[in-house]
Amino acid sequence: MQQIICRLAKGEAVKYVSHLDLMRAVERGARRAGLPLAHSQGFNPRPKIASASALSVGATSEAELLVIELDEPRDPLDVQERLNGKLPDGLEVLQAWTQPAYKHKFAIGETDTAEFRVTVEGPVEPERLAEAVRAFLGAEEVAVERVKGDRAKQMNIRPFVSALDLVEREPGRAVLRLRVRLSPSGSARTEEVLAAVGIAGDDFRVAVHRTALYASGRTGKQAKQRLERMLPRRSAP
Amino acid sequence: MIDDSLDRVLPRVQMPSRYTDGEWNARHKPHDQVALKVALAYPDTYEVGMSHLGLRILYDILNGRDDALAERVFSPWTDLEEEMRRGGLPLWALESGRPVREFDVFGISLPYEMTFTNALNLLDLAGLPLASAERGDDHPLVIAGGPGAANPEPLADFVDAFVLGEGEQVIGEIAEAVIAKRGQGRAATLAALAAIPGVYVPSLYEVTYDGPCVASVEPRDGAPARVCRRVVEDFEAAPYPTDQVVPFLETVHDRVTLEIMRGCSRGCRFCQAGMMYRPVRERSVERLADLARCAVHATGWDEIALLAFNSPDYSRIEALVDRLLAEHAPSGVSISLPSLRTDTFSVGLADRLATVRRGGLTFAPEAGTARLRHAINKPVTDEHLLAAAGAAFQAGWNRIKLYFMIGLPTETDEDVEAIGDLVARVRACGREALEPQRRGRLRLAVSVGAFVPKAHTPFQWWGQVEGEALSERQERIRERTRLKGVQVEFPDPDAAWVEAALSRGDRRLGAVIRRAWELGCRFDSWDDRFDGALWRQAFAECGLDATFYAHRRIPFEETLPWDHLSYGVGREFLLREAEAALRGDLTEDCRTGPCSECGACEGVERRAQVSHG
Repeated sequence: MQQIICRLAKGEAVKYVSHLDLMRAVERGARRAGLPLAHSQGFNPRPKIASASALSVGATSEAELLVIELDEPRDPLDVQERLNGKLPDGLEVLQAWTQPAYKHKFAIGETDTAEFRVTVEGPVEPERLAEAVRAFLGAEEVAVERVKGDRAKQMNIRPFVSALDLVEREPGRAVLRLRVRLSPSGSARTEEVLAAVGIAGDDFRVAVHRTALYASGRTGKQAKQRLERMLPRRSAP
Repeated sequence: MIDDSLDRVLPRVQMPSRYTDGEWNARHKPHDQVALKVALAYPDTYEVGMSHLGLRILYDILNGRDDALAERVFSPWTDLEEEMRRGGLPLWALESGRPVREFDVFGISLPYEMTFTNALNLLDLAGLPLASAERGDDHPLVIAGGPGAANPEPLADFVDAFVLGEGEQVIGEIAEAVIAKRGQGRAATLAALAAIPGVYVPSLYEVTYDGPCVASVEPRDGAPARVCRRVVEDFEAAPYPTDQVVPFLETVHDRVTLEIMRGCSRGCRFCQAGMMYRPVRERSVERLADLARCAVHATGWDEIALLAFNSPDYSRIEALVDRLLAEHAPSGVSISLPSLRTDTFSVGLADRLATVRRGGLTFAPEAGTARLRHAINKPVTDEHLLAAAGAAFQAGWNRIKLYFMIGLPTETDEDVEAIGDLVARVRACGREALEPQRRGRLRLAVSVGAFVPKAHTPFQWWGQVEGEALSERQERIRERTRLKGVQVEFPDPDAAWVEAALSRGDRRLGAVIRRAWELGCRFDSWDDRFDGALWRQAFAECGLDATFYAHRRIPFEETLPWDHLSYGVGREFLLREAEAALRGDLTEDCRTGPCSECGACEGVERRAQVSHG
């Protein structure tokens, strides 16, 4: 038995494919590629493919993390190449590496930070946007309302946003860099952060691209050390 | 393909990947390098349409030609339709993103009558005039086919040509005719199409009426007096696509659909498919094993469904199942039988298939008494059913499904009540078969449908029971099945009559369908979308009586609106069967008994037909 971790790109062509459907597409690609997928036991055996933090529909990414479990050991580079030959356009394995089985839960479960590049087109006023971003960062609380069924819940998203930079700005266009913390108690959604700085509604076209997904190491020194050996190094700004 | 205009609306609609293409095995051919561009549509959602094997076969055949390409079109859900109408976005084909209007042929697959308003909606969203007579040389030809075209008359005003029967061979002939007549105008093309066997061009037929009834249907301009359906003679070698498009979305049938046989000769008298797709043809175990291997390899699906009207009828079903299991079970690919007859053999088979994944089990006794089951020519006995159900429970199933129909010709109150009693007996038998600790988990899902008379069946002359009587019969069943673990599902009595009216309709119903569409009818086959009041209004405004079409017992001697169209089985045979039903006489399956002289084999050479014992 072997576990292969893949960092996957989700391009424009497949950005409307939901997270679950994307997983299934990888599963089918793996079967087409003839990879010896390991299956769960029971009445309805499923291939053992796990993923970290679902990406929202409509967003692209270069940092989707998957763990694929195989019945026989394979060279990760070979897995990457075979899989890439059998994935639909827009899906690509950018990196693949192995890890011992006992670390499985760690790599997927400990990812707690996601970074996004958000490109906004529309009635963008650079100075006003810069001011809104400053106000956001200066605030202790940014309340949003989340509706679940027929119940609405107030939530403060500010603690989950660890970085928000205006990377590019000109009239009509802006690029933001956003870093959010993913935690069991919740997170901030990209569209909520954007709405909080005045970007909402049909007049704006927003392209969300996930640039990184990683463990910040806040969960313990040991965890961080392990992760540094396995995940591409990211320096926390 | 996601172009900019689409990219603007997709973030606002449900399940946007219905509309984005890019699935594995989708075919993208350059538009400027082919003589013929076909947009193949299915008038329902992507998930339903992508589950339809017929569309996949035609897609494969057309794209396999050097001179043609085919792209897919499905009905946009109502949210996208709103966006399209608001933004002036015309209906496009998925692969290229090009408007349907730019294609040479707009082919529409018609699964059944309740998709007719969606078919009209597709024409309108494509920016085409609805009426065939209003379309010109610059518009694509609109060609329809499929089981919903068994009686195509209600759509005669809107469709340029219908294909009767199986499409594998005729599609190529149509492609060649359209290419050959390019630049010569619609009339010349339609005349060429009408000369192809199995192609019906309704505008070349004059219908006269005698009061509410059809008096005559006369061909003109050399069109054949009678159009006979096409049938694939060499089913063994018939094209079967192995590199099928693999959807991202979970579709209704998300698996390899392996068509092991076509046609059914059991002869259930209500069953349109059983009459239309005769004679029975099979593929060999060898060929099926090859096709299955290629399909799994090319798609990555983890399930192979053996498609047949009744898969255990396949003469070498055990050999096939063993072969497929041996090859595919080790890699986690399961084999399933979507349709099973009511016997212990089938349960044994299903149990063997459960080695990988355990699917559901469905039995369809159809009627509550042996008498009525004789009248419909489906002679399952209660003992058979109970033994099969018992075997299923013992083999580990806790839940089975039962299908019944009410309103069948000759049905009495006693027959209806017997359905309830039979359900109770199946439940008792299950409780006996299960160990005490499993008894609480026993579930019977009972579905009770309404009989819909269909063209080209022995029951085409019978009317559907009217809504009130139907409700009353449902109540009789309901009060007998208030049992723990039993769930009974009834159809909306308000929906069945529309299907019945359309299935026996004539050309005058075109106005009703158009009016219903104008009033907002869409997705009529979706329970939560159907609105019977709109259909009643459409009938009333067109001055037509739905009862005449849906509920009337048609005299045997009357001219039927579809009498000029033949699906192989002859009128004499249908009449004989209708009379046999009244007497309660059985007609044997011609695979085991004598030939019933239905007429389906006339002029058909059955190559590679497996012999039966």
